[in-house]
Order: sequence, then C-alpha cells, then structure tokens
Amino acid sequence: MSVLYILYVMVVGAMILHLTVVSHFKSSAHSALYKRYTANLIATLFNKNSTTTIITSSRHQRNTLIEAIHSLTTHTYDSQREVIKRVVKENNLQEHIFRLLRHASSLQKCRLLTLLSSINLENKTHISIIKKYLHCHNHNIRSHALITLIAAKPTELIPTISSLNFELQPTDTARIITLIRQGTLCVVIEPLLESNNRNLQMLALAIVRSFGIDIADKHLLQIVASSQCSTLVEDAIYTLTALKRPLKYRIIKERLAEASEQQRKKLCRHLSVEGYSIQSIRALLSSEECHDARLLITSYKRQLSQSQTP
Amino acid sequence: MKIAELIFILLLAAAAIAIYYRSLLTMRAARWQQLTQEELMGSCESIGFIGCSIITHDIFTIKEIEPLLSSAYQRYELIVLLNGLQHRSELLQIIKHYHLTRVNHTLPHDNTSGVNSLYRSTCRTYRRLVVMDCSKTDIFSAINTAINFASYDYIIPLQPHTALLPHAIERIATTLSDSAHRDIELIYNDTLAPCCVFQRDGVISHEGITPDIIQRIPKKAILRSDTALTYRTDRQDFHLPTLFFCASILLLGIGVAYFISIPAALAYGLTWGLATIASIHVLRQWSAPDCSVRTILYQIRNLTIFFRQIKFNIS
Repeated sequence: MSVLYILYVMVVGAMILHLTVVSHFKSSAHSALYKRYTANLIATLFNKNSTTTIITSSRHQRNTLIEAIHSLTTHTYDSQREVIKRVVKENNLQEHIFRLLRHASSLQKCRLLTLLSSINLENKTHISIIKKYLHCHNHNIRSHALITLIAAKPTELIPTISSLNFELQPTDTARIITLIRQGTLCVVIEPLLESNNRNLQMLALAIVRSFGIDIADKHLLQIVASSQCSTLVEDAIYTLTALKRPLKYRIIKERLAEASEQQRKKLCRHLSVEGYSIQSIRALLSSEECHDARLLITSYKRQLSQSQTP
Repeated sequence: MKIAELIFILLLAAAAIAIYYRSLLTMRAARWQQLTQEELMGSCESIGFIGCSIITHDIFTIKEIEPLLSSAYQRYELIVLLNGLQHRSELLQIIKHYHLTRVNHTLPHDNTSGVNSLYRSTCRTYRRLVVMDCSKTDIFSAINTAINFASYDYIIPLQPHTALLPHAIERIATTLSDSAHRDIELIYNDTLAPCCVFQRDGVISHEGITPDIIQRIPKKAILRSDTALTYRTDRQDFHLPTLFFCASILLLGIGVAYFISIPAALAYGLTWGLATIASIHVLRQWSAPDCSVRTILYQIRNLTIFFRQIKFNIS
C-alpha cells in the first residue's frame, strides 16, 4: 500500500510542479526575452543600415524570436521584409520551425504555421511540405497551412484557393483579409467575383464587404441569379445589404422564396438592423415574416406624443 | 480496511486526473483563443454575420453598464432591464448620462407585456444601448419580453455583477461561424462565471427562457465550451453556498480519510492542494481580473463539472 501512496504523491507532485513552477518560470523568462527581441527588432527596422545582429543559441530563444517577428509583422503595415529576412537567415529559423513541425500536436502545428506566415518562405521543399498540410483531416491545420502558403506566394492566390478540396469558413476569409490589410497580399476583385469556384467567390464577397467595394453590384446580382450554392446566394444578399443596396430585384425575391423559414427570418431581422424600411422588407417577405422586423424598426423611432421623462 | 484504502486512493487518483485534465483543457482553449485573436485582429468585418444581444437586469449604475458597452465587435447590443417605478432616480440618471430618448414599441402598455417604456440613445456612441423600463417581477418573463427587441440572432442573458472578458463576443462569433456549429442552440461555459449563449430561434421554439431551458434543448445542440466568456465583478461579496460546499467536501473527506489511515488523509490534503493550484492556474490563463478567495473557491467547485448537470441561473 505504501508503494501506491508514494506513486500517488509523485504523480500529483509532478502535476502541481507543471501547473506552478514550470508554467510560471516559462512565462516570466519568455516575456523578458520577448520584450528584448521586440525592442531589438524595432531598433533594426528603424535603422536599416544598423549592424546590430540578433543571435540566438537555444531552442527557446529561437521560438521567442519567431514570436517577436510574427507579432511585429502582424502589428505593422508592409514591414521591411529584407531586414526580417536577414534576421531569419542568420538564425536559421525556417529550418528550426520545420524541425518542430514534424513532431508537433495539432494546436502547436497551427501555431507554427501561423509563425511561418510571417517569414518569407522561398525554399521549394518547404513550400511542398506546407502544401501537404492542405490535405490534413484537421480543418484548423488546413486553414493555417493555406494562410502560410498565400503569405509565401501571394501571386498564386487564385490557383491555390481554387485547388482546395474543402470549403472556406468565415474565419479563413477573415484571416486572408488580415493579410490584405497588412499589405502582404494584393488582390484584384473582378477575377474572383467572375470565377465559378465557390471558395474564390466567398473570398470575393468577404473582401467586397470588408472594403465596401460598391462597384461590385452587378457581380453580386449575377451570383444571386446563377449560383447553385445556397450559402453563396445568402452571402451575396448579405453583401448587398452591407453595401446598403436596394433589394427590389425579382431574382432576389425568387431566391429568397427557396430559402428556409429560419433563413428568411434571420434576413428580415438583419435588414431592419441595417436600416432598411419596413416597405422594402415587405417587398421581399410576407407580412407574417415581417413581424419581428416591424417590432424592431418601430422601436428605433421616437414617440413624439409622449414626454421624455418616465 | 485495505480494500477501503485502495478504493479511496483510486477515487483520489480519478479526482486528480479530472482536475489536471480540466486545467489542460482550459490552458489549450486559452492558447487557441490567443492564436485566433491575433490572426483575426486585422479583419474589420463581423465574422459570419454573427450578432449577439446581451440582456442584463438589476444593474443601476453607469459604472456597471460601461464595461458591458466596451466591446469593439461590430454586431452586438446591450439591453438593460430596469423597473422605473422602483428605481426611478437610477433610471433618470442613466437617461441623462446616455442621452436616452423614449422610442416606440408595439407591445401593449399593460400588465401582460409589462413594458412601460423603451429607451435608445440619441448619441451614436451609445447606439448599442437599449434600456427597457419593465414592471415585471419575474425576471424570466422580463427577459423573454426583451428578446422581442433584440436585434441579433444570439441572446446572452447576463447575471448582475458579471462582465464580459475582452474579446468575448469575438470568441463566440468565431465559434459559431464554423459550419459544424450551425445547429448549435446553446453555448455553455462556466470557467470563470456561468455564461449561456442561446440561439434566438431555439429559445422561441422552446417557449422562451425558463429555469429548465437547458434540459429542454437537445444534447447535440449544446456546446460546452472551455473558452471563458464572463467573470464576476462583485469580489467583496462572499458566496455562502460555494463556501459551504467546499468546506463540507473538505471536512467530510478529511474525516473519512483520517478514519482509513493518516497517509490517506495526507494524500487527500495533497489533492486539495492540486485543486487550489489548478484553480489559480485557470484564472491566470484567462488573465481574470478577479483572483479573490471567492473566485478560487468557485473554481474548486467547478472541478466537479464532469460529474454534474449544467443549470441555467440568472438571479
């Protein structure tokens, strides 16, 4: 019985040690190093001709340096790629991440792939490894691999996305928009909107909404009229509402008639939040379905006949 | 006696594993959220058109309303329920501070609806705030009435003295935008404080929010999340039932363990040490603003989450 007690004490002791000492030590040492590297990187970025070099010697230091680079590139617009490239090369960071990727868990893989998206990948072997992750069964890994691939080869956005064998989620399109806003990616919207690929069209709609591209009306109506994918049609109608466009077209009414009752109710509430009048909502949906919208729209208005104080 | 001792150690081992496993789950959820937040930060659009309406009651001061309005997410609103007859001065103060004006509503001005007045701000900064002067004493029916004025598809009934963690709405939107979660009717989390996110249509189909609504929602439509969403703000208020629960478990366990053997009592004490450290660890992971004894005790009580049914409580 005493062996059991000793075993129990050892196991619970290890758990306590992991939760307190190791985690605490890791986080405090990590944050100090992270601050130092970030400060050094900022100093190097400000002075391109600076001869200051950042040299790492251990695995922990390399990990921290990559995190500092990632944080800097995500918080700045169009950072000095050459300077970052030099730091990455001097510390052999690409090889380091690919070594870690081999034995990482799914969460760690996502993290490492995200970190890789901040580093310019040029090596063809590395790119082919990332491409393999696009076929992974875990959606999160696939999604992160896609972002890394797009960041590495921004000019090949259309072939990369059209070759995907999974559907893009709203979080994926939001990540790609983040890359556009950072200046990593330049996109011409027309080819995306005119494409027959569902993923490319979903991305195009997200970009139209996010940047308020109001010249896309014609394309949006075209998608509503011709697309066989109900999610895409729904997204196109929501994009039209985000651009505050009139919805009185016959084709929109026809497509809405095919939608489920729940989807129509959802759209009805959405239209009232977006500022559409009850008349324009009635033109699309039945008066019973407009009940929620009427209640909401009425509640946005001031009642002049009553006094203001309770 | 030997068999009793063996069973006791096995029970302690099961408890220790459950505690450690829960800490790892919350740690993993915290790291995942940190990762996704960093990535989605640059995108300015609401993810998947997900919007949330927060409904809260029994908050009377601007100090309590202010943190609930601070989220940067585009598609959310805050509905505050107040009884203008009982708390007239507080209502007037809120009206003055947020430049509120009385707006129309089509519900009847009588006892059935209970709605006396509805207020929205004339100031664009506070466009997300809706104040409902409601004379209903039953909080559940007041919330059900407030759902009529909610603009978005997901409803978060919030207890008084509870605040949202930074980026909580973004976390909910990220989770719900996944096509695998399209049929989810309830997201439940009680990492730092209990929080329920209801799908509006789900609530309506289950005849409104009631104390036993969770039992009426099909299990496959419930998502038990490890991602913390809310935290308690009343750190001075010591919660007696939680204290009583923890104290009774501690004393009962020590009594039984001491009866078996002294090493058993020591092993029991060690398990409690692990539970306390795991609770503090969870709070640190989520950068909880409140690390008081009360919150730690709440965390210890939560360690039994694997073995109990989730309940909806709003009072």
